Amino acid sequence: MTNDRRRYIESNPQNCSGCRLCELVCSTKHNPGMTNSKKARIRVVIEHRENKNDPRVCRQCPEHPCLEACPVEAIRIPPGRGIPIVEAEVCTGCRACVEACPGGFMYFDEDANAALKCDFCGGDPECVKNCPQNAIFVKTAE
Amino acid sequence: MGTLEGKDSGPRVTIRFLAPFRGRDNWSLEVPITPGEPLSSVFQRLEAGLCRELKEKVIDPPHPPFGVNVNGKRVVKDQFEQVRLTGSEQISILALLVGG
Amino acid sequence: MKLCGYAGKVLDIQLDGEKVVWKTEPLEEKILRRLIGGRGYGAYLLYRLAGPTVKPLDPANPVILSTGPLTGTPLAGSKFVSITKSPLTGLFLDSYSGGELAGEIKYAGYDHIVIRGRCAFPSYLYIENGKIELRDASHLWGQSALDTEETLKKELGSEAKILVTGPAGENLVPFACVCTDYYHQSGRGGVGAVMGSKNLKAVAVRGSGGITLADSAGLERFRLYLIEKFKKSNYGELRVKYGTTYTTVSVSSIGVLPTRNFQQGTFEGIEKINCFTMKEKIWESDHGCLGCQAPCMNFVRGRKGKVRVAGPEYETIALLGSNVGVDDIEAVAWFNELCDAYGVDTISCGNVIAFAMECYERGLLDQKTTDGLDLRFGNAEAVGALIPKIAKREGFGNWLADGVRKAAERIGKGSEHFSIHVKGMEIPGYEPRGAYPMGLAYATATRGGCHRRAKPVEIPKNRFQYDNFGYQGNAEMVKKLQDAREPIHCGILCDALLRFCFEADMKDVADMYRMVVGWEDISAQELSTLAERVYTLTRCYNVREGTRRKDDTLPPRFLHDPLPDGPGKGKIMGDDTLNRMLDEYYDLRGWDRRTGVPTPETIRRLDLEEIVGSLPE
Repeated sequence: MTNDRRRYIESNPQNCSGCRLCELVCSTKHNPGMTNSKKARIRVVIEHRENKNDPRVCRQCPEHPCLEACPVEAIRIPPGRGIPIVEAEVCTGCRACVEACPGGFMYFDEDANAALKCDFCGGDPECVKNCPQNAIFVKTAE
Repeated sequence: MGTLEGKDSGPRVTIRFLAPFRGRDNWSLEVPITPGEPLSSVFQRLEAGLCRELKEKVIDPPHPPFGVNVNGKRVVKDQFEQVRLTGSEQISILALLVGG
Repeated sequence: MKLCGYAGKVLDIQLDGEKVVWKTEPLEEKILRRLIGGRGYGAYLLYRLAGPTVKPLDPANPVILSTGPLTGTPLAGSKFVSITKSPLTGLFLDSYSGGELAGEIKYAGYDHIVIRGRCAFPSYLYIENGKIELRDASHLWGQSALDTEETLKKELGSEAKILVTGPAGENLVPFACVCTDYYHQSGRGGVGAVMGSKNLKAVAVRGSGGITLADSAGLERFRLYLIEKFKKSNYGELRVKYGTTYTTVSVSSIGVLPTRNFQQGTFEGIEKINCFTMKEKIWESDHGCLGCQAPCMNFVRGRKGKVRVAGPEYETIALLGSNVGVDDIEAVAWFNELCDAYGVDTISCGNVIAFAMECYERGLLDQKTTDGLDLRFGNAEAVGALIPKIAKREGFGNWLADGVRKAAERIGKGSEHFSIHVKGMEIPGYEPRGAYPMGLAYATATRGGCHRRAKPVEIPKNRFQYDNFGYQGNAEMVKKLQDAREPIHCGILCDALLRFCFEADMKDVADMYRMVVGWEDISAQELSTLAERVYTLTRCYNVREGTRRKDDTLPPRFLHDPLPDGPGKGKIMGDDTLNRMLDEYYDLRGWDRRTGVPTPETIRRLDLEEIVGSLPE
């Protein structure tokens, strides 16, 4: 099963209240037993003085330059998943994918020395479920 | 502002909804009344959906989380029968929300 | 046993002239279960560090930035609390704030940051995980709190979370606040002045760590449960839509809105400054605290875009709106931004300005004394001119800059009668003559004239039978409302978890502690005892400073004058009513009826002997 209709997380920055729940729950989802926004695959850029908040996360683009850039094939599309996933054990921490992403949506876990990419939580994104403002939502590409 | 019936004259009261009713907060309704009509009767005559919502939020609960004021004075639900309207009253319905 | 939720450390900082000396200490496990964190554990620290020989502006008086095990977790709105001995009251002060700093303190690896001593010249602290540095702040001294934060964000990167004191703090105004994320304040009681007395302009924190969670799967389900509670709640929707400003509607409806220095309980201009007008005229977007499902702050723009601020909260609309006779929401937003920029508490500031206005209208002050300001109620331009003067202690501003108690002492001529404070702390946005239990709440709040311990206004009479114009049942209600806050203020999470938004109960709170920290056997009953313990501990602190029954009182206006309007019209509270409420309250708390001092039995029952020792009578 391939991802014929691309599904991804879209954002509506005007609605974002800057609560960072998305970051906190994302980190816990992928690291049970803790919460640490530095391990989140979604990051909110916040400018408090003007209350301008921007949740930024991978759009699962079909070109996947991240996968193309990886020199050790640590980023692959697993069978049935349809989107590129970072395999942390294989990743050497070179950050080529971080450089390659045109949206700046690849993050880096300093602790684990591995790249961080949204994996869509296997279909039911945790961040979207917890956003109180509909600032992030699931979109299906045309 | 809405009117319940098309009458141009006659005594009427204004009900201001200062909490969400029928999906909106901060709206009002003018209701024609018969002089001496109890407040409870006016509530019962409102449109079915609104009447139901009032019953649910203001009348049925033993200690309703919403309050009713008539001309700036709080009226508890046990008094709705006793309050007789003359036709110029300002009625407001509000949430008992003090989160300051 | 490894505890989750906590960072596990107290950071103990000594500002020593041109350098900083610091050490970390583990949390004391035998105290931890008894006091948990936040207000509870912070009270323990302050009890040890700032006794009667330490004056509020002495170097030895600590600023303690406290968090709890729940802070920084994805549960509900995270808060931190600034704990110190107040320059305004000389008593225990706990002042809460939202903002990202709450989580960042934990992520940097600390549960509490204790700051003592004094810098030789204007400085700021830079804390990045285990790196603690004292840096030059001479380029920031004199700057507004807002500009200071912006400058530091540019210098340090936006990942640094900053706590700032404004010009008022630098000038040791005893109701100077501290600010973070521009628009969040630890508002009350003068934390900003304590920082100013240390020549400490800011504290910047940056952390790369996280927080361990005992049962993260349980928390995942619990969050969805909280979201459901919110959807089914009575007031959740209103809370998000209007924030605290909806209170303008509810308090007006029972005639307890402070108007013109608490001369009235209703304000004819209320429609022009209520929540609906705010939303319609100046609201732009929502802002939320770290981790909060119900973002309730209103980011507004006013005065043709020249004013932008997250606010005004209800208290600001009351104290700097109806209480000063101003019926223009844009003006109130302007006052809010001025207070944020200069770093003063909007409640105390509004209260003392209203006091000055009443003095002026009564002829106790003339225009020469007020530097030419026409201080009639309603004069918005005068209020806007006066706020900076107070912060800078300029001219007539300096008459007011030490708070309303001192202002009345200076002006005299009977003005003490309408100097509206308890224990020196200016009273906030609820007129107790229309809700007598609120009077008891003010008289017995830990930090003085404060609404954040109990707020017995508009409580539906389900669990409590009380009397808005008598004393029956009031003591029990006030005690229970005070106790309900404690487990959340030790957590520290936002009070919105309670009746007015999520409607979580003590069993829910116990579940939160169980899932975050791993205390399998924690119960609602235990939290109830915790609440009594913390409340009595903070009372012991105040007793040690000299507080007795005679200080648990109200301004003469509240006790002896009737309200001229609203449901309270013509009724006089009287000393007898207050005394009866106090008698019952002290009995419930286990404090001596005569003196208001916690009895030795109570101290023993609440496991406080070790901490408190024996109290003076």
